[in-house]
Amino acid sequence: MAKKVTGYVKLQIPAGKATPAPPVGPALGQHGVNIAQFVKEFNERTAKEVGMIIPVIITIFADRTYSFITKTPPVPVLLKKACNIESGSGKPNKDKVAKIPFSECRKIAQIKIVDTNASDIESCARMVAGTARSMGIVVIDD
Amino acid sequence: MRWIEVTIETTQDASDAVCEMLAQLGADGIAVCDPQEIKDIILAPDSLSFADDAFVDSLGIDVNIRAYFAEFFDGIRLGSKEEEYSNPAGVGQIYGKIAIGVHTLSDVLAIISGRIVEIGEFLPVGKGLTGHRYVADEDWANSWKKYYDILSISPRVVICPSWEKCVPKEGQAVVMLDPGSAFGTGTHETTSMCAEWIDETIQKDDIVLDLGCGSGILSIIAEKLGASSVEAIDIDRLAVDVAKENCNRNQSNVLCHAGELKDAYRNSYSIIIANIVAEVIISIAPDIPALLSDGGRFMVSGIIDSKADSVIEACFHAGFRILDAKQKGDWHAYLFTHTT
Repeated sequence: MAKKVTGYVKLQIPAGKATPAPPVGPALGQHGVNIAQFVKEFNERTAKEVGMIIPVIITIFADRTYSFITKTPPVPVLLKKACNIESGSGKPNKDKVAKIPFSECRKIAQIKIVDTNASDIESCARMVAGTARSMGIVVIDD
Repeated sequence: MRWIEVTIETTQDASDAVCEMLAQLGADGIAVCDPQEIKDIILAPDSLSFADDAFVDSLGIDVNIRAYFAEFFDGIRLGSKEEEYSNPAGVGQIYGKIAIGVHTLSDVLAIISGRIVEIGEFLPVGKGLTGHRYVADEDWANSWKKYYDILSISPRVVICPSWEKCVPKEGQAVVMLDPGSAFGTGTHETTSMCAEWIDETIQKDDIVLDLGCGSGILSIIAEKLGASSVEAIDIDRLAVDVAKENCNRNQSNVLCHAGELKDAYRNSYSIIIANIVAEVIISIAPDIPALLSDGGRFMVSGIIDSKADSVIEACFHAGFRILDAKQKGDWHAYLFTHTT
């Protein structure tokens, strides 16, 4: 079918645990999307990843039908996993919570490059390192 | 209870860090609009999606983030639920040395602004916090239904959502269909033009192939109006699942399967429907006559204004002649026939 896009939104929601509450309700309700069905489908498709926050991109078409694709986990989630920490620092310029070698940032960049505008791995790795520093993770040159 | 929606404009580089900060503060949900992402989807070489320039331009350049915090009678509670449960006395501190407990809206906005400034020391954060508004709690699981009603798609066919009761008039067919993740609710011009032709032209002994069936709506209509056999194909497996579900709901015997034109089961059909997009119709047109019975009809739709001439040319080239043409808004549909 000819699918004319009239709306688009990316949500970060817990795998297998989406509900019609915000952000799903306000984001999709205004487009007349069948929210109950989206929640059911998202939870079914992400049931194996419970515990992860999954970015999901929802495209809404002219007749209010939709499609959605799930993306790679956000950079901070990958950084926390790599550093084995539960949360970043609330005061990143004072309180440091972990250290990470730049080579690890490059590994994360290799996962994320498909979902970003970055032109190459090095510039994507620099973005990952910047995100790490903003969470109070010290990036070590190696 | 109501919700506070906080809006932040930032860059793609900083958007993950900003979302993480909001999640750590206890935002109940985050919605992100990154204009580049939708452009990538629309412009992908194999994409069947497209959009008006006005829609793409309306997305702007910045990444727009909306975070939702629940406001209770006493204020906004920050921190994750786990942190709250592990500190029932509410005397501890959470992420960023913020006291556990209830905060006012101005406190929360100040905390978010401060944290964006700190992220800005490491990443380009853009405009930052740009606004907030209250969102009333509502029955989101059901409120979207207000956009749908019983739809008379053609003289003899009514589309009825599952929550409505529809009593058909004599000679009317009812198709039970809820909007979902496969295109085709009947509200779009491309679908309704095909439905009208099916209604006008279908014969009892017609053998129908519906290419790019989406929700299966056109196949179900064809069968309800008397086609003797209907086959529905889509390259999208998820759409095929939705089509099968819709066929079951309508006690319909349409044969739904995933695939392309080359995967069609029969070698002759009296009607082939292709409500897809101009490029696909142009590419399959030369292969259609071999699958069409003598005098069979080729119904094409999903053709935007600017592509109409190319579709006609491709179909003429394949030996078709036009029986009828329709236009609704920017959309064109053609009914061709082919005689050997």
